[in-house]
Amino acid sequence: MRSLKVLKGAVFPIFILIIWLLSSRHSTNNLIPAPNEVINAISNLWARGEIQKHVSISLIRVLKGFGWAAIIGVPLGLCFGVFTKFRLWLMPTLHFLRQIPPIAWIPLFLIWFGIGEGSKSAVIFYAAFFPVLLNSLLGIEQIPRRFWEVGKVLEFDYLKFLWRLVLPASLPSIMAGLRLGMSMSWRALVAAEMIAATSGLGYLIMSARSLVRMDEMVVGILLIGLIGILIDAFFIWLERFLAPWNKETLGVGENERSIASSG
Amino acid sequence: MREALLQAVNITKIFEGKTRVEALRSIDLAINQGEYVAILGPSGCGKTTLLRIFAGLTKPTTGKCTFLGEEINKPNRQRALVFQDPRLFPWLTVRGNIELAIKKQAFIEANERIVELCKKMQLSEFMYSYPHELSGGMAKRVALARALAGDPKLLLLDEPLAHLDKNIQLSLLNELHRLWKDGLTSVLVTHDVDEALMLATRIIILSARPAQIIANQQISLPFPRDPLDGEFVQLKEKIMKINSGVGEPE
Ligand SMILES: Nc1ncnc2c1ncn2[C@@H]1O[C@H](COP(=O)(O)OP(=O)(O)OP(=O)(O)O)[C@@H](O)[C@H]1O
Ligand SMILES: [Mg+2]
Repeated sequence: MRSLKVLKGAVFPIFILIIWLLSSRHSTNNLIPAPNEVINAISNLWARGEIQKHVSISLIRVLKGFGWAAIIGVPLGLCFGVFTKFRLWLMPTLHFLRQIPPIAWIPLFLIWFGIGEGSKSAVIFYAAFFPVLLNSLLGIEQIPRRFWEVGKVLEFDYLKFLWRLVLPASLPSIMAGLRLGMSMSWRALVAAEMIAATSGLGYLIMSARSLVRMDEMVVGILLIGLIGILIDAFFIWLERFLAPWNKETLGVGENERSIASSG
Repeated sequence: MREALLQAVNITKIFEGKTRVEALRSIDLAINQGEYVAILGPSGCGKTTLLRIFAGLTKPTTGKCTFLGEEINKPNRQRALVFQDPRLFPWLTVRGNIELAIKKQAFIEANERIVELCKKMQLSEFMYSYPHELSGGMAKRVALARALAGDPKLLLLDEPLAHLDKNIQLSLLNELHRLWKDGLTSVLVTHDVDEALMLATRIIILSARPAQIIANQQISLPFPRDPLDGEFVQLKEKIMKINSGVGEPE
């Protein structure tokens, strides 16, 4: 069953690869680089140490900005979840800010925080912050009342409510928020690097553009997608590791759904 | 007269929602140390509501409830409520769930207490299982063990045997009887007349909504009780008759 799934997932990429091969062969004036050219470009870039350098710089940037978003966003979201009165004061502002794509801020951030790391950190932070905050808040909202009542009946103190109920119950939602925030900040980062940077994956693509190196542009795009998938897979794994009970309950739902859809 | 363990005076409960529901009307009830009180009544009459008021989870609209002479205004582990559904935390093992009821205690002391409770409730094998790995009967046992871990003076049971198969019902019934025999005053809410007659020293019958007490019957049958015994059958018929006057439960 599993191998069949993998096979089905592979059909479309193989199809694309064939089209790519054919079209690159028939394209005049080098508009579409051939797959082997791209592979060459990868090995060249790797040999020059460019891939290693740009990937690690991008990753460090995203981890920094995202880390701050997580450190601030999760506790703040939990606070909003527990102390519902806070929400009246801040939610309208947050909802407004949430609508603005992080890239729209880049020109302003460049002026405020300079061309260096500051503006990029701000963009990444902005991209990750809202999914993290809102999902943490939702996590608390979704805790069933019957669980709160257990805490009351057993006379939990604040710490026990926090450690035994609030955190574990909202963990799946917090993790979903972190995962979403991470993928948002990964995208925002690359965009930021394309506009204003002298290093990173976004810069790799932009510098290839100025030299009209189609093959290197494709390498950049492939790397962005690939690393994005790896990061996402890590977060899925982390969630299963930290909240295995959720996997079980989800598993039941999945079965039911597949039965419903097949029947 | 000796002071009652729990005393309800003229309790009324009205839920004000989209529709106004009068669940309880002028309930007067005293529960003494050492009693096993079963509360019978048709489905939806307000049995759970009454038990929640005893626990301190729900406030009565009028009237007052006292426990050991003090007014009940919030839950307390001395009055342990076992909910209709087990309500175990899925992220904790059986052991972790039971531990929830134990207040800051030395590790060894708490550990011994949990092991002892698990043994008593026949859960020893499952101490490190998660709730989704338990059968319905096992989950109920864990919920019971969790309630007992707080060293209660009064046990409030909301349909503890509902939705279980006969064998498990029987073994749990024995457990509940043993707890009472060891000195734990208990209040049992149920649909099932047999269940009430097997356990209780007194049976209270509630009417349909708004629930009022329509019968208050001492049961002095000796233990162990036998559902085929003549006196048992007689009492059962009598109670069924009162109960059917208010409509059969479900
Ligand atoms: N929080 C609430 N808000 C509004 N109405 C409620 C609430 N809780 C209970 N009720 C209503 O009060 C009535 C009594 O409910 P309760 O759960 O006490 O009945 P019950 O005797 O335990 O029923 P069952 O035998 O089905 O468990 C019902 O009509 C119910 O709809
Ligand atoms: Mg009920």
